[in-house]
Amino acid sequence: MAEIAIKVENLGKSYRLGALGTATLKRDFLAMFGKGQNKEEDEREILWALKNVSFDIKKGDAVGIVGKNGAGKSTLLKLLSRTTAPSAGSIKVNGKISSLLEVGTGFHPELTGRENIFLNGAIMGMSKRDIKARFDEIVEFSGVSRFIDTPVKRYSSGMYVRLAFAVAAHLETEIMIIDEVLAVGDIDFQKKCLGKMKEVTGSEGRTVLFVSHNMSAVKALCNYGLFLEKGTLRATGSVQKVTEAYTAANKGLIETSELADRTDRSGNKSVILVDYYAEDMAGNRIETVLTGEDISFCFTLRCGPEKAKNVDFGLNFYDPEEANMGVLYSSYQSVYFEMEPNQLMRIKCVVPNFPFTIGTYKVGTRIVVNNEESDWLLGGAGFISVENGDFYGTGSTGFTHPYMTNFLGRWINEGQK
Amino acid sequence: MVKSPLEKNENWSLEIYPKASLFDFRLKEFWAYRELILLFVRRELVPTYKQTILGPLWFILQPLLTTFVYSIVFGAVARIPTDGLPQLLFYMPGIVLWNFFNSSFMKGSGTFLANTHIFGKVYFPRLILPVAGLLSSFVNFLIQFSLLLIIMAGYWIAGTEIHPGVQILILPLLLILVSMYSLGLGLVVSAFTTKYRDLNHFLVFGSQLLMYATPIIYPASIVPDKFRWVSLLNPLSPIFEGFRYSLLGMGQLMTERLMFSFVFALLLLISGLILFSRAERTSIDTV
Repeated sequence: MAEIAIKVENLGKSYRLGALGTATLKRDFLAMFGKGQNKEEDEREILWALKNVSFDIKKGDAVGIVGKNGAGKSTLLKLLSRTTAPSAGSIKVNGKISSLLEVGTGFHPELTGRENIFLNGAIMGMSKRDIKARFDEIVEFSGVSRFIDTPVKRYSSGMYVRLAFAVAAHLETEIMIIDEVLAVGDIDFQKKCLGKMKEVTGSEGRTVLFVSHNMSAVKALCNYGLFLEKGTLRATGSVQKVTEAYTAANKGLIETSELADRTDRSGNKSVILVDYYAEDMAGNRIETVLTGEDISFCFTLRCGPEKAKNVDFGLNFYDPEEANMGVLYSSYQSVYFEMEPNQLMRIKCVVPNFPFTIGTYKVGTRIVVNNEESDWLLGGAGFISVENGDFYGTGSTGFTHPYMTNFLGRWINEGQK
Repeated sequence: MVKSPLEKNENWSLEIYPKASLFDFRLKEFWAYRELILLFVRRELVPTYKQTILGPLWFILQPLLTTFVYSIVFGAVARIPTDGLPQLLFYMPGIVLWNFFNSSFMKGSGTFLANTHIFGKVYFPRLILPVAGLLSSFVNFLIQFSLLLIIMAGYWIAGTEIHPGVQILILPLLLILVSMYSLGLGLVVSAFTTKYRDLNHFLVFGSQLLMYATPIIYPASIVPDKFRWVSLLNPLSPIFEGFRYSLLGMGQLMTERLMFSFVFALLLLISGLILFSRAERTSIDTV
C-alpha cells in the first residue's frame, strides 16, 4: 500500500454568525468564568462551513477538489494551507506542504522584480538557496527579464501576474495545494500555466491538491477526486467517478442562492431567474466553450403565486466594456413559455456554432411576462468564457481578435471578364 | 480511536489540531523561517526612502527636527530643566530611544490588521512580522544613534561637561530591555486587536500618554513627590534614565528598579507570546 501524504480525520470548521462587538466581550468574559451561554442559543449562532470530513491522500496523487460555491472548498483549502486552525478533527501531513492560493503574495510595489522574487519565494517557504538556484529559470519563464531591476509598480498588470506566477510555478515541495484562480492573465499565458500545472502534477512523487470548478481541467490534471457539498464530503474516488457524481448532482432542478437572493434586479417578479449554467452537448456543465461549438444555456425559473402565461425569455452577451454583443428573445422565434404558480421550470437555449471569439462574456437575462418586465438581473446572470475554436469547420481559427462575432458566408465565383 | 498497524509507525511531519498547548510557541519552526525575517526587514526599510531626494537622511532629520521642536516648546517656553545639560544633548537620547520603542511597538501592534491579506493566503509563523518590525526599527535606531554619537563628540570636543565612560557597557542591556518591552507590548495589543478593534483607536493616544509618563522631555529628578508613583510604576522610566546615564554620565542609574523592569519585561514577553500564538491560529476568521 502506498504511503499516505495527508490524513484528514473528522475535520470541521465553524464560524460564529453575526457581528463581533460588545456581545463578543461579554461572551469571552463569561467563558473565562466557565459560564457559557445557553447551549441551544449558541448552536444556532454557529455555522459549520465544514463538518466531519475524513479522507486520506496517497503520496503522488493528483487530487481534484470539486463542489459548488459555498460547499466548503475554500475552507478546506484554508485549513490545509494552515491559514486558519480547524474547530474539530485533525490533519496529519507527511512531507513539506506549500499552498498556492494566490500568486504574488507579499509583493511590494516599491521593490524591484528581483527583490520581490526573493521575498515572495521566501513567503511561500522556499529557501534563499532554492530561489538562487532557480532564479534564471523564473525570470526566463516570466518573460520580464528586461525589467527585473525595475520596481514592480511600473509593470503592466500582465507582467506583474506573469512574474508572480513564475515564482509560484518554480516552487517545489512534496505536497502542493493549488487554487484554480491561479490561471490568470492572457490566454497564451494561461495555457503556459496549465501546461506547467500538468508538469507539476505529472512529476514523480509529487502530491497535488487542485481546487476547481472546471471539470475538464480537473479531468485533465487529476487522477483522484473529492466532491464537497454543503460542508460535507459527498463522494471520493477516481476522478472519473467524482466528476460524474458532481455533474449528476447538478442536474436536478435547484435554486442557487447566489442568483435567487440577488437584489440587483428590476421588474415585477411574477417570474424570476433562480439558476443559470451552461452545458455542452453531452450534458456536462462547462464554463468555457470553443468558438464554433454547440452550447446550451440553461436557466431555472421560478413562478410567483400567480400562473404566468406568455413568458418571454431574453438572453444577451456583454464584452468587458459592457458593450452589448447580441440579443436573443425567445419571442423573436415565436417561442413563449407557460408556468404554474410557485413552480420551478428549466428552460434551455441551444446555440449552435457559437459565434463569439476569445474572451469572457457576461451573460445577461431579462424575463418579460405579458409584455411587462418581470425580472432583469442588472449585474448579469453569469459568465461564459470562450476560447478560439474551429468555427468554420475547416481547422482555421480565423481572425482571433477577442470580442468579435464570427459569421459564415457563401462564396460564389461569378466568373471573370 | 484504534489505529491500524500501518499507521502506528507513521511519523507525521506536521499535525494540526483545533487546540494547541499554551506554551507551544513553535520556536523551531520560527528559526527555520529566519531568512524570511531579513527579507521582511528589507521590505520595510527599502521603500521608505525610495523615491525621496534625501533618502535615508530622513531617518536622521526626523529626530533632529523633533529635538528642535522640544527644545523650543519644553525648554525655551516651558523652561523644564535638563539636569544642567545642553538641550540638544538632553532631549536627543530620549527621542532616539523612544523612536525605537514606539516604532517597534506600533509595527508589532499592527501585525494582524495590516497583514490580513498575506495571512489569508499563506502560512508562515506570524511571529516573523513583529520580529521583523523590531529589527527594522533597530536599524533605524542605529542610524539615529550614530548621529547622536557624532553630536556628543562635537559637544565633548567643545568642552561641554559630559562624562562618557565605562557606564556605556550597560547600553546593550538597556536596548535588550527596550526590545523586550516593545515586542511584548506589541504582541499583546495585536492579539487583542484581532477581536476588538477599539484598541487600535486607543493606540496613538496611549503611546503618547506613555511617552509623557516616561522621563524623556524632563529628568526623573524633577518629578514632584505627588506624581512619583507614576514614574515608579512605569517600568520604562529607569531604562530611559539609564540610557542617558550610560551615554552622558548624567542622571541616575536605578539598579533595583532596572531589575524589576527586567522581570516585568520577561513576564510581558511571555504573556505576549502566549496571547499571540493563540490569536494567530484563527486571526483571519475575525479580522
